[in-house]
Amino acid sequence: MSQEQKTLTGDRLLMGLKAHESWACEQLIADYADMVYRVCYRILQNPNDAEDAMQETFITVYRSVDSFRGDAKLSSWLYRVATNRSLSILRARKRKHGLDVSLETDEGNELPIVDENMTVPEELLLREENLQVLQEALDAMSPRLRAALVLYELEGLSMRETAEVLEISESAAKLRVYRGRIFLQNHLLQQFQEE
Amino acid sequence: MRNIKNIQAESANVRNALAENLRKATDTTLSDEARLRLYEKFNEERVRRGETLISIPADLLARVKSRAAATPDAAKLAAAGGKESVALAADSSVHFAKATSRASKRFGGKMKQGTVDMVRNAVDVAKELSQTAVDAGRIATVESYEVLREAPQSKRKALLAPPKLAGKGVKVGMRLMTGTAKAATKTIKGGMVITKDAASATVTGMIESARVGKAFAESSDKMVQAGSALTKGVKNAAKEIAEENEDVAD
Repeated sequence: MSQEQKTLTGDRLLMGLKAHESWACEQLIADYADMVYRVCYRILQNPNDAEDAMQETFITVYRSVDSFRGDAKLSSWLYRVATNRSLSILRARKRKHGLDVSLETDEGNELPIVDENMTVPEELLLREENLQVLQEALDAMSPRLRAALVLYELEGLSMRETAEVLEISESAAKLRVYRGRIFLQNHLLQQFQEE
Repeated sequence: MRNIKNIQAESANVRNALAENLRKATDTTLSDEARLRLYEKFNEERVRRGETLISIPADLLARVKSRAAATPDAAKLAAAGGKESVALAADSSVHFAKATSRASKRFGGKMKQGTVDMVRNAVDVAKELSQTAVDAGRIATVESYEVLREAPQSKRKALLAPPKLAGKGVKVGMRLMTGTAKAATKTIKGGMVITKDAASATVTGMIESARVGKAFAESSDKMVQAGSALTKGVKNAAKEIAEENEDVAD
């Protein structure tokens, strides 16, 4: 599908949603349920929470579609709502378990334990058994870094789109993605050194 | 500034390998059941707004339907666990409330403020435990009942029963845990007051405190049993589904 066709479909879908047409709701779910669930799951790392976040995302979008001006793409809006919902679930989860939430409140102090000079051998990254370690590392990462990494590296958004979804500047998004990568590499290296 | 320079200096190979493995590590797909629940959620919202329902794709329903066979037995097993859990939770609450009430009566007029506060806390504990039991019971019975009631009406809903019940089970477990934790906090508060005013506590008071403590311990034990029963029910349901799936696979 060309970019023009996609835009037309997006505009038509948005008009349908604003008119609360049932076909538009059906199309919204058909087109975006997988994407929204995937991003929620990648941020939350838990299928039940991801399902809750996905449902809340769709309901939030549907309830507020009348006030959506269409400045951003519908998909970007969905990404933004899904990311925010997931982050707020993560915050609630951390509060419930009494964990330190300060890591996600200070932009300049998000990741204090990072050695930026460390590099990780490529072959270490390619080892299949490291998938579990990567998952653990993602789980241990600050939610803000995780969201940036998920959107940019895994969802394939551009840095500008990632910044738009996270409502931060492009340079801040770059920094988060970079720090996220370093965090993962450090985690893997630590594992490697322990072996 | 140094960070931005480092970004550019990063090896593209390492970056790609990292992204690729990260993608593999977090790969997931939306299950048919979860997709169906999303349609239902959307329909709930549309009903609330007085709008017409959206239609659920026939192929999605067909896929969900094809896995419906194992559901009724599994649902029954999960419900049995829930029922037992509710009975135990309610029983423990009543037992605890009675003991606390007895203690309160005997304390009346005899104890100084510290002890009165302790009793007040103990009453709060009883209330919390009672509320916990009520909430857990409501979640486990009403919602499970609704799930089960719907099950025979349509095969689709029947298929959705185990995951729904499992979800309710988690809610009940969470409520039990929260309630018990709150109750424990109140008890500690009561204990601290008692310690502070230990000099003014009478022998009767101590005996009653011990009784309340014992009742709380028993109550907590029953709460654990309740949680365990519920878990057992849900586990049995999951096992049943797995066995049915194996049969289908064979």
